[in-house]
Amino acid sequence: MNTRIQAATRQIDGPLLKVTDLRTHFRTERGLVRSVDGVSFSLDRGKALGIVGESGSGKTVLSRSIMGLLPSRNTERSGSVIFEGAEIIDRSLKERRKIWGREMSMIFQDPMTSLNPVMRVGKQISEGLSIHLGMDKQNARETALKLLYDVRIPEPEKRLDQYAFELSGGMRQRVMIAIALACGPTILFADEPTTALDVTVQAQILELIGDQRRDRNMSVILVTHDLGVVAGHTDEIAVMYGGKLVEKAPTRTLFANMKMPYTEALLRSIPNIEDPSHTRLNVITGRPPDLVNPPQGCRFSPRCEYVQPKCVTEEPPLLTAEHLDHVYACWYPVGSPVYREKRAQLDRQGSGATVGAV
Amino acid sequence: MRYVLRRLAQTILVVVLVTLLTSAALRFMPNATEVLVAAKTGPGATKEQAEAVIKDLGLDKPFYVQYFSWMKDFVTGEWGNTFQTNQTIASEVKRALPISVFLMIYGQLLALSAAVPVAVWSAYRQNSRFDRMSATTAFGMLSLPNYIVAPVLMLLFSVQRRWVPYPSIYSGLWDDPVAHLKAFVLPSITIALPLFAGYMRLLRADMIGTLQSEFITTARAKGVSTRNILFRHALRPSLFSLVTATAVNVGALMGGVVIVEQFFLLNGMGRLTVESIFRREFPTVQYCVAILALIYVSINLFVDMIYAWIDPRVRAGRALG
Repeated sequence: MNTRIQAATRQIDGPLLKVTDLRTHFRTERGLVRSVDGVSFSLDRGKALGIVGESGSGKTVLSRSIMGLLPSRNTERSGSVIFEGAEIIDRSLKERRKIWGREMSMIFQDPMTSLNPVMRVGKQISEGLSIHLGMDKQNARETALKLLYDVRIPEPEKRLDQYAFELSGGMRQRVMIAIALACGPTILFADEPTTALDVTVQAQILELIGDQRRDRNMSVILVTHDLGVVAGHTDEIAVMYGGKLVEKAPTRTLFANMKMPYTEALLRSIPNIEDPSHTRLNVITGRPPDLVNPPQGCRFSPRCEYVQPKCVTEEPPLLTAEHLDHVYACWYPVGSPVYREKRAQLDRQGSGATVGAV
Repeated sequence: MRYVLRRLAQTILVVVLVTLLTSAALRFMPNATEVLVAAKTGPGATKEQAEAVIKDLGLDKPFYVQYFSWMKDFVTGEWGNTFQTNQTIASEVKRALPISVFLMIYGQLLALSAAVPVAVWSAYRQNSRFDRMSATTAFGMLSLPNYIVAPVLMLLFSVQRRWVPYPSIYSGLWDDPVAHLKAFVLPSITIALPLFAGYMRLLRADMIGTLQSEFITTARAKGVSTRNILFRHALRPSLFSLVTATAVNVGALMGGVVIVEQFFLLNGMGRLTVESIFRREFPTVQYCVAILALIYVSINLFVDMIYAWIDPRVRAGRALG
């Protein structure tokens, strides 16, 4: 039986997903929280985009906002999301629901809580199949089994009738992936898919997502705080800070030639295995910006080591680097004369590699 | 298996304790013997008559002997006769019990069938106009005593509109279903109003918690419709408090709605028990209490099974224990 549901292969000119000036603001008692504040990017079919940022950078809200998954109450959404050539930002809930699970799927951070505790695994996978593809019970169950094979879960027949609590964390995340892949989506959003898992399992899950992306010619948006996670599993990386996109480049270019001091700081905050033990971890001092009253000028300026007067008063636009597909928002990017001067000064002060030593 | 045995032992222990306490309370109250004798013989009995009664009821024997012989009678079904009407106590209970069971079931069904949808919708549309209105209504219902509700209902539906007869004339469900339902509709509503309010608020609170869970977002992201999210995904994990409250109310409704039974002149277990107390017919009281205790414990056993149905984790925990 050939039940593999392929991603729809309609050929459309231009990118699969084009997000333009997307804003998502939440009305709260404190004021308007600008979680996503004018983000633009596009994604081609079959490609993987990493969205990287700290907690509160707006990366999770961005992915949910693109899908239209946020509750409409107290949420203001504007801009444009063009998916397969059609504007979807103004679609009604009923129309969005046809996209959810069918065209766009999402897997979540914590597989412990993102599966229904009182519904059998097989039922949770086959639910989407009967909603979107109108499969009967028997057919849906067989397809669910096939999906469990696809996500390489041990003893898949047995899993169909088990509950989430009977599975390990890694297996649960595999089930989540099976649910998300069920109807052959064209885009998979993976929101911190490995953060709650053991390190050994993390690599397996990322590999699984990558394999499925290639097999199904599906696009993946991988949301994470960990540059290390996206390094080997994405074609492009977008770095978010304070609700804005601050740098975006093909993965290789970004790591070789990053422009934003924030990206640099993120990378430096990953501990290096070759460092001697008890090396002090590099931290980015301060807190993520308040999204109700964001700082003037560059939003990273209060925490930036290389801050200059201009950074505090004027907000940098997205500039194009020497590679045309590399954009960044910084007045004095990594490698610029001002940056080098400041770097040398910092090194003389002995802070060395420690970014943001107090 | 071990679990079932343990639960069975628990059940028996509860019934024994309840009946022991009832017997002791009735036996050791001041002048218990005199009160009982007077109740059985009526005023102005001779010494011989009194002694015959004492011997007949075994009041001269020690308490534990009395208790055991009562227990034996309870189990074998030889409950003896009522003092005044000289009916068998068993027949009195058999007459009263179905009325109480029907009243309890109808009240619960009414309350639950209204509370579940209202609670689910209130939780889904938290702080909406519907939610606020249902909250206000619920608190209103909770603060209305049933001795106000009952006469108002009677006035509206038995006096002004003669839709249902007053007093409620009990007929069996199969003998005359229409008359049967007519007899129960007003008392059931009276009982259901405060129950509805309590159930609604309980389920709403649990449901709000469940709706904030990640797995609800998962279901949304799958494209599941709102109705299926509410009723297939969110309702079942939210049922624990509601099931517990419903079970607790079973006992309370069987023996404890004397006022409602009295208003509608329904001869249920509540009335039988209370009137037996007033008439000092202590054997009847003892059997009534024992029956109610038995029902109560059985319901709780049943509720445990419902918990296991609601949440497979309970089942798994049990298999380990």
